[in-house]
Amino acid sequence: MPQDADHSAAPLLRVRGLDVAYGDTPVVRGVDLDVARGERVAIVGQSGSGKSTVIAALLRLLPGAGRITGGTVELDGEDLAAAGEARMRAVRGGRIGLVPQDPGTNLNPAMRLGDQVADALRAGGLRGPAVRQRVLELLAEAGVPEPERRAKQFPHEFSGGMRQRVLIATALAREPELLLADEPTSALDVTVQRRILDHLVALAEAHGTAMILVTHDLGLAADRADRVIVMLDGRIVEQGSPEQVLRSPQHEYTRRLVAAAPAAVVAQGEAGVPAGRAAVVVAPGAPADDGAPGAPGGDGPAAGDVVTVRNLVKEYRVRGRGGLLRAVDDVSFSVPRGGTTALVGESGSGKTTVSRILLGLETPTSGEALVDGKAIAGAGRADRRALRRRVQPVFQDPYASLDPTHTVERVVDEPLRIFGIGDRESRRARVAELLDQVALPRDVAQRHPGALSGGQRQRVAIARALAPAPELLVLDEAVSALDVLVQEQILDLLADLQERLGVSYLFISHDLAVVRGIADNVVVLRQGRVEEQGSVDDVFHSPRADYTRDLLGAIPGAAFAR
Amino acid sequence: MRRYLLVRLGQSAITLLLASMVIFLGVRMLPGDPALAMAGEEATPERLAMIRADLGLDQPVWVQYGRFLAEVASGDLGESTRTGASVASMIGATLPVTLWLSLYAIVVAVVTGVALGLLAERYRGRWPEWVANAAALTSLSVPNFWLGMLAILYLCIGLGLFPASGYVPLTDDPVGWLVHLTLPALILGTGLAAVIMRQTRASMIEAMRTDYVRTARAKGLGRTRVLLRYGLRNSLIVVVTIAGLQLGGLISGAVVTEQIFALPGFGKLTLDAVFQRDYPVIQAVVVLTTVGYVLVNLAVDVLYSVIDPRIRVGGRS
Repeated sequence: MPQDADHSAAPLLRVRGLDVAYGDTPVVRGVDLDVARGERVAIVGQSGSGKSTVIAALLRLLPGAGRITGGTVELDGEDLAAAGEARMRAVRGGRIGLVPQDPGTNLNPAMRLGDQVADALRAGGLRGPAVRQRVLELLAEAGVPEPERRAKQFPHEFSGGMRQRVLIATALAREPELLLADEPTSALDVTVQRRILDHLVALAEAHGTAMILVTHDLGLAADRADRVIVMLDGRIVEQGSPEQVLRSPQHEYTRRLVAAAPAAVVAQGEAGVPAGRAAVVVAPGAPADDGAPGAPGGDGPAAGDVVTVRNLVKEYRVRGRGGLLRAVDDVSFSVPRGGTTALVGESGSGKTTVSRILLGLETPTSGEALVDGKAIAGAGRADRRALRRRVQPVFQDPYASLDPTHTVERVVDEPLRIFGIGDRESRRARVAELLDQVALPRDVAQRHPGALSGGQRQRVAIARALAPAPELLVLDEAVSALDVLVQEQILDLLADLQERLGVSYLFISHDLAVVRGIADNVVVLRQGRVEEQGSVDDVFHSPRADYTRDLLGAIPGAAFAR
Repeated sequence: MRRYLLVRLGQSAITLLLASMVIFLGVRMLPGDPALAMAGEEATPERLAMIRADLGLDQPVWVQYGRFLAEVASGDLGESTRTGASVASMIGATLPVTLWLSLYAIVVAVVTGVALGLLAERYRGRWPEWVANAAALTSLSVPNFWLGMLAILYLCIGLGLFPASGYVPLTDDPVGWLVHLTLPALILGTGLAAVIMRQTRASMIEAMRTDYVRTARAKGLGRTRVLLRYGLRNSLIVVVTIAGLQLGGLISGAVVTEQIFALPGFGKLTLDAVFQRDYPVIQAVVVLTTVGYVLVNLAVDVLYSVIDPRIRVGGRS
């Protein structure tokens, strides 16, 4: 709604020399940023780069000890960095809208969704029945079906995607001129992600709203923005059109980002599979690395498979309704010895349930999940112990999966102690060896997980999983929480370990692009059923199921393929 | 919602049944023989046996328990072994005093506690927070009885603002009732107000750090509005839990306050009964206190579901 034509030449937002510090620690340094009316600018960077801090600073909603220590933030010539709180209140929601990152935590759990949208309107002075009318309009516009009914519901009754639509409706409620979208879809499934982004961009375009899109995903930024800004350690290191940034990145860091973008792998698919990993594909019956007990039982699995899952079904009772939920519905697949099978699917696809059954944490309703021809579920105590030792997990969140009060040595040593492997001396040597294997310096052993970065922690988690010399690692979204460059390092490490140790992986991920790089076989799951399975090349080059095509199409980074 | 209520009611019934067993056995295990206490030291064995038969003490324990349950269920709480008066009527006379006193105190505590907690959060790092904190700490450290005596000395005797003692039933004289109860309720409520203030403040600080509070502020809402609409409601769970737990505790806390202000309440009745080994009265008092606790807990659970809609479905968030 720009009415003053004389402003149109000057940028809507003009940031100069912005410095932000938390306490005495500077986190944003000398950021210059212009956003023209109706323009879409993407800020790309890894965690800690300061990109979200810039967003919070623009709204003057920095947490805790955060404050702007220098520079100006001009919105239509008015310096927001120096504005009073009352003035900022008029700007927030009125002229600058915020679409936050995590729809799970950004809605008040104790308030009806309609009321939460209405609050945005009331903050702008709207009163009376017009509020309700407008709330319903906004919800409908944001793609919430049956707005009349849904407005009366609470957040826990909504899916993640629907919640994000409500947050978008809230941000657009007062038709702001600038929308700040802080990782607006990174907490959502890929196909949902695409729909929400499409919708968000379409709405912004329809209203002529300018947008700053903050993301860690270079592919997504390139797809959606007119201009891409790359941040590192609180500074802008590069900016330009998506073409420029992708085709001729100037800064070293941007070059690494472009090289590491998993989506690039998809684009290169035809040219040649990345070296090293394809070679790992194990011909059935090829001698496995070392003495796994010979294939047991006549009716057992093919000699080359470490895991055989047959007609697996898992049902849960649903509280209140008296019904049954089939989380896993007739799933069959195998993991070749020394190879990698990927389970791919969105939330609710049953991929984690399958992994929990393999780890012996759940019992199947029917069907079987065999490791070396034996099922953990039906096994006796001693057998189960032996099987547990052969299958080790690595979880998604390296922050939550390591006990912060233990030293790294104790963490890695724990499985050795549990399985009674070796004495104190030999265990200490084994821990050192494991740390070497995951390329961590040995002095890390005496540190606590809190002193390590996310990537280092995930290396510790891998070392712990490898400790009892398992045959299979269950990697449940093991790289999903990591920054792109770190992700790449961990994937390289995994490939390297597989080559050296002959360990097999069940790699669970929602991210097809990552799977492309590491897996031999892919199983695509949807609502507990197998949609499609086959070798990586087949699934990626000639997907048969519509759903697989959807998933592939939803991978951001079409810009790379241009 | 109805299903949730039914489940909670059922759980409460089971809790009560278990509690009644514990109470029954507990009272039986108290040292001292009630028959002996009634008959006096010089009683003949025949006289003792008669009293035992009269009280049913010669029956097997489970028969006694069954009779006890049946009597309690029918509202017959027996007679005092001391005065021979019906226990029900003794309780009927004293319970309202304590109930009103406790409720009044809880209201005082919740209102001042939550208000001070909000104030402390709204003006974090400025003087209102210091004042609220200092007030909370002081009222936590000062014992009730001393505060009560000071209040009587200065407010009642010195300034003559309140009557120093006594009680007037609500039905007789509502104004007199209020005047007589106000000071005891204030005294009884201060300690609890301090606890509630600290908890409100702590959970408000927690709530104000959440993402949804930032998002609410990004809508352009003012700090106070966000505090009340987004922060407070999510902090109330803690407040309700504490107030509920304390309401039960207040009944015992009221013993001291009732003594200071000479209120003819439940606390005094309990104290006398224990000293005189008046089994039926003790038993009735404990049963009623238990029922009170269970009912308060039920009310707390219902309040939870009103405050947090996720609790209604019975699942974790």
